[in-house]
Amino acid sequence: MHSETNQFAFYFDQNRCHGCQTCVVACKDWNGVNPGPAKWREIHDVEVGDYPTPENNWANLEVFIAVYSCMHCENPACVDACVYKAIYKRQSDGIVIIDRNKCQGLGACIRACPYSAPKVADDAQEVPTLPKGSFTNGHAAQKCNFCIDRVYHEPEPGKPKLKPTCVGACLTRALDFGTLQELKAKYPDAVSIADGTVPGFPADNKGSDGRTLAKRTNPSILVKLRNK
Amino acid sequence: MRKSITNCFSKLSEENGISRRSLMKSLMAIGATSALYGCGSGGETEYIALEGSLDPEPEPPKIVEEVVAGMAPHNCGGSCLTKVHVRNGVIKRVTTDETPEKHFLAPKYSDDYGDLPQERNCPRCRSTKSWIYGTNRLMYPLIQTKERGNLAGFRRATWEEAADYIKAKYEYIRKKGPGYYSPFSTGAWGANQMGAQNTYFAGVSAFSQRNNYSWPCFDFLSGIVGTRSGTPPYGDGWDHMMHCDEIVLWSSNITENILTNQSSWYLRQFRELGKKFTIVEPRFHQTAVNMADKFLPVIAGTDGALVCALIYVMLKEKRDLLHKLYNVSNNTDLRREVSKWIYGFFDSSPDDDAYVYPADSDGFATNPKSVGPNNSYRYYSGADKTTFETTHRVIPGGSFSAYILGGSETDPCNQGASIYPDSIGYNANPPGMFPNMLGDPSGKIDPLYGKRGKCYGQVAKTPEWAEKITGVKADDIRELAHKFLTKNVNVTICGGIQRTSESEYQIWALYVMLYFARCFGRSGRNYGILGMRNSQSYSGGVSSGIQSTQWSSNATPAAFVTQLRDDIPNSVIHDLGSENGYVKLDPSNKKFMTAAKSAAVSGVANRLGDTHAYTLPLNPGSAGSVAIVNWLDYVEASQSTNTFPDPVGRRGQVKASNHFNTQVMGAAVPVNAITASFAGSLLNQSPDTNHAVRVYTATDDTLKDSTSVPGVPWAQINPNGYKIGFLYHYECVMSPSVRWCDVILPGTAQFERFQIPSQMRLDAAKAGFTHKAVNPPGEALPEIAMDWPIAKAHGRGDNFFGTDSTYKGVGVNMYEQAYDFEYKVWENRFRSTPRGMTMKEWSKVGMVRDVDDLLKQTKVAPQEENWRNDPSNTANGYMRNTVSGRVEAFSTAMMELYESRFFPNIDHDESARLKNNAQLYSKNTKALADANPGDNYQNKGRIVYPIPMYVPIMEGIHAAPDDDPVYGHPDPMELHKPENGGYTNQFMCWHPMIRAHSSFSSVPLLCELKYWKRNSKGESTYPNRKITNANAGADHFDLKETDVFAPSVWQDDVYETAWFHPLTKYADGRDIKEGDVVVVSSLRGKILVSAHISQRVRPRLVTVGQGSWYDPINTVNHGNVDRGGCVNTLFKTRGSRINQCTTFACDCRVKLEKFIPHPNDER
Repeated sequence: MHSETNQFAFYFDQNRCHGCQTCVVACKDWNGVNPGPAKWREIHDVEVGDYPTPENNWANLEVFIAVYSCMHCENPACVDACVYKAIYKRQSDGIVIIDRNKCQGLGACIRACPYSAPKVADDAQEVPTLPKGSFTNGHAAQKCNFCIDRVYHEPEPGKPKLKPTCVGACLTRALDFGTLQELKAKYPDAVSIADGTVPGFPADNKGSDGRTLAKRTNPSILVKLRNK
Repeated sequence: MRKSITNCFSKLSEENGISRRSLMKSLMAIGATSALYGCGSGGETEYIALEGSLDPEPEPPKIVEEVVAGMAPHNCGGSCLTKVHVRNGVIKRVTTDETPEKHFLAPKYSDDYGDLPQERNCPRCRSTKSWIYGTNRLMYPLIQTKERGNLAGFRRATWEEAADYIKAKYEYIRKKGPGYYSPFSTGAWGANQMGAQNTYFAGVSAFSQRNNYSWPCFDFLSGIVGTRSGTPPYGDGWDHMMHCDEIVLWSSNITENILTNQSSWYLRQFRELGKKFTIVEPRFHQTAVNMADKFLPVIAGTDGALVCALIYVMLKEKRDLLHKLYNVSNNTDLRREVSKWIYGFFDSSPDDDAYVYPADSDGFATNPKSVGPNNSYRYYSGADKTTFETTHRVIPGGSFSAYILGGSETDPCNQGASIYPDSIGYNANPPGMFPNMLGDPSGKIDPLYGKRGKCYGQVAKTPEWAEKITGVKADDIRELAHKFLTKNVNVTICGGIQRTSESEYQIWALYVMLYFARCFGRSGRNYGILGMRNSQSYSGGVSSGIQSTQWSSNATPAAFVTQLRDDIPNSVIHDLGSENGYVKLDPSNKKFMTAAKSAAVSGVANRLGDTHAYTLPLNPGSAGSVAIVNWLDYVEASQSTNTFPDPVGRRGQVKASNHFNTQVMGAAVPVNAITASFAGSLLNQSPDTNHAVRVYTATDDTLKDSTSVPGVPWAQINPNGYKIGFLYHYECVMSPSVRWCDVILPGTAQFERFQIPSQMRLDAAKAGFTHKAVNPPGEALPEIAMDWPIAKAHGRGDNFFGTDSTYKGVGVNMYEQAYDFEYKVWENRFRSTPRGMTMKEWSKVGMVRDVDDLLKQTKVAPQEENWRNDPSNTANGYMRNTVSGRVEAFSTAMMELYESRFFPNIDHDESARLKNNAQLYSKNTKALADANPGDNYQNKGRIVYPIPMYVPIMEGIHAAPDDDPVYGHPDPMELHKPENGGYTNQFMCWHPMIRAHSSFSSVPLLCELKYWKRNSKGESTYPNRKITNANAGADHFDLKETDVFAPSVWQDDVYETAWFHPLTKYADGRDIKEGDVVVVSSLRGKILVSAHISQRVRPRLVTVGQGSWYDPINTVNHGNVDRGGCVNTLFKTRGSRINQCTTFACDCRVKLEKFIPHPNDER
């Protein structure tokens, strides 16, 4: 069973991120995801306050950025939602994998995921992999796999293994990767986003379609809160 | 399922040359790993769908590509490390530096502590694969067979045909009386290649660009008011910034525009080390998002008012702290101390030494023909250099501080209250002066003629006054002034503050304020342009292994250049005529001719002998150059056959300028050819894109020439009769700037050839090398091949690539020959390499850094520190440019410079008369005064004053409404009035991280990012996204020899995102909604954008990132619009007030309408 000692997780410092989207591009590039609507990582931003003017009594403005991909949750709602059992969670490291061979493109995983992490391409992004029908546009779902090749293999003989490409790409070093246990030890003030109070991160108790989930998903990410 | 497997098998089999069976076997051996991956990102990505359920935890795939290191080739301050992962000749992935790093946040004395960051690249270089395999790569030479700009008119040519065409055009323009311009070429995808063009055109060279494009106003001011030694002020090195308490980023969005390497990470470290950040900026930009402790929302173009209020607070409200800062106890001592470093901050006192302004023999004090010690420009008196026409003191009430306090009060250090008026005039084209005035299609008179702005001479510049102008809270101004007086404040300035019509005054004022606040020459208490010192010190000769790495940035083979230079007869270097405001190139002056030709052939013709950019008109160093913002005006004036009596009465007959630019009026040689390489400035970055198109497509029936081109029978010399007879470009992509050219040569991108990134983009302690990783597409050739047609035109084409290999024509190893030759050129060029490495060793690592050097080069520059310690010491050239040897807050030279460019400098409006019957001296106005004794000329107002007053920009806004008579923006052209167009909003642009100027606007991986390209519903859109395999060739570019170019670069329903505050309205009062397609109009043009509603911009401000590609279409409801959203479509070619030097990216009023499409709109 995976546990905090072996569950891979992300760390995100919301103070450091300024929204450059380098991680978004790096993710697509490393994983061979062509330009198009399937984006494994996406940026979300929340503006709190107003642009300061005398009319609004010199309001303060703060911008919260949240950039995330699949959270590889402890209880992934996508796994339960898929009637074809095309999504599974690895026992050894907690990585959630979509088996595109089994996926029938119904999109239930996307609706169930609080973060809409699974994505579907269009025909210009990849050659259709499925028959098109009323429930499918012909493309199997896809999403982040924690750059599993980078974290398990030496990039070149004798070189150390690498963290996911988004982590290595971040200009302000806002991202980190490790097991939950490692990250908790390294960033003791980082918190879970599960309750939905961290700006930009939805709560883990509802799918992206708004329906309440049977179980909270408990995403595998720790966030350092802004100005904390 | 199986279908996708089969497809991928066949692809992999082709690439690897292995059988399907063996491939199947190997894939099965690695289990279901491929379920996680595409089979190749250089080609079409397909997911290999294997039976993942057979093994729930398959072995992850291995990383098998070969890694090749390199660096950014484009115009970027980053010079970060980029690695491409290559498999079977195709780039599959792009990564960056992932070696262990040292940083300041680590525990001191730990192994991780230090200044050696990973050189991480940003989205631009991360998308390298997307550039290289983009749909709009140029693969073959193309020749335009129809009218310019018609994409369907381009026909594929062979290199031989292109060379013949270029040769024929060369002969044509040479016969016609050649005038030639080479615009700023950034080397968008490669090195700056102006050298090669200028080699070719040295024989017809007419003029080039004055100033640099990036820092024209800073450069200009450094020569006139003295800020360091003739260059932009160098900002601090990173570890020097660590010694400050506060960091002010003034007009410095440096994490997004990547002013220098790893800026966002360095700044972030400083913030976490406890430095406080104040952001002074109109936009709450990307840097503000994670840096701002305090955000001062200054309205674009009102920085000067903010500066004045800061000084007011220091003088009036915090005098005790000011005394403390200067370590004095009374005002007499304060005045004496300030005057040691700054001239004219206070009025002169009777017991001051007289300040000597020299009177040069040709009439202008600022004429630097007299060259001082160390080749500096000091101003000596008359011909015998001993006599002086007059002496000067800053007259009572004439100093900058008197201006700050206004007409009602007098500072204890001054002799009187401000003498300056409240309003100011402009030099503009008077009606009837130029009956065929160019540049105004409507035929109306110059909208600026007779109009007046404000200069607030009698107003006290209180924080409350400034609040209503700048939009910055008065108490925040007080707080910032307090910080300057009490803390170690480090100020970083960047280029955006220059992009207005009053940039010289405003930056000058900022400089003076910073010197007055003692923000210079101390560790942690300094100001400047970040990174400048780093790049500058590269040539400083620090003798470490890396620092001694030296090269020339010119890719032209030295031997060829030498031969060619010797061939150029002096007689063909055109005499531009000193009477026209430009230097006469005297063929009998052997020394200068040699220098001029050397400059032309060595790739620096844009600075033809020019030491630095303030180049005066009679300065031999300025050889026929114009500021970049003027050059379209210059071209039109030069081509005009009409002449007019000189309105200034000093030069006889002159040409018509669009904007009463008296230098342009002197244009003599009709510009007949323009060549460029990687030059967005040709059109998309030109000061006014519509103006550029008008210039490029201007015709004259008498010039029509349908003669067939020898060797290219299907092409004609000048069938349309274009006034600019030749437009030529070498590029990698079909950009808007390329689109209007006659012939296009296809270039190689980064990683398709060897490349040493320009030293301008490198830190002092870093040397970079980019190795070739893949072959270029089609017949694209390395830059060196661009010189081949040049050589051919000079009869040397047959053996161009060296004696060992003979050119045999396109398709026969031309790429290899060019590539090998270029490699040899690079190899020969190095006088040394980092740490004595071989080229091979260097190319393997891509980048070499030296920690010791990083530490060395970040110390305070010694000359700055010395000058602070002893202001009488101007050794090392520090402050050498000013008459006084000090920073000048009062500069007669500024007025005389302006006058020496033939600009009239009298404001005849009676309201502008100086108060208290004050008399301002300048040489030219004194001459007028002598000639008109009854008019009290020296008491009249001026267009350019000797102090940096706050003058609202031409098309700006104030925080107060336009109709507020006291604080409202003067809006001199009354553009806010409905009858003049109702332009009530302000527009500005910025340098977005996803583009480098106009480079990368079409890169699919960047277009799709949030807040960039969107469709008419406001959704992300995905233009240009077929990623092609370089080996297979892009289908629509794989033209047959007789095919025309099939355009697919610009697409329908793709818009650039613009940012609007929720309170910003359409002209009809309706709300702008998220995702609306908005028509943004200025006096010059219209663009279409997708609206994003945000609190990050102020009400009435519209912002769009620069560099989106111009794509004009005709619409039924809105006329001609640029649906590409190129911001330069909105801007103007009028120069800034004093130096005429900068583009107006923050000086543009616009109105907003909702776009109403029509079925008959052009697609």
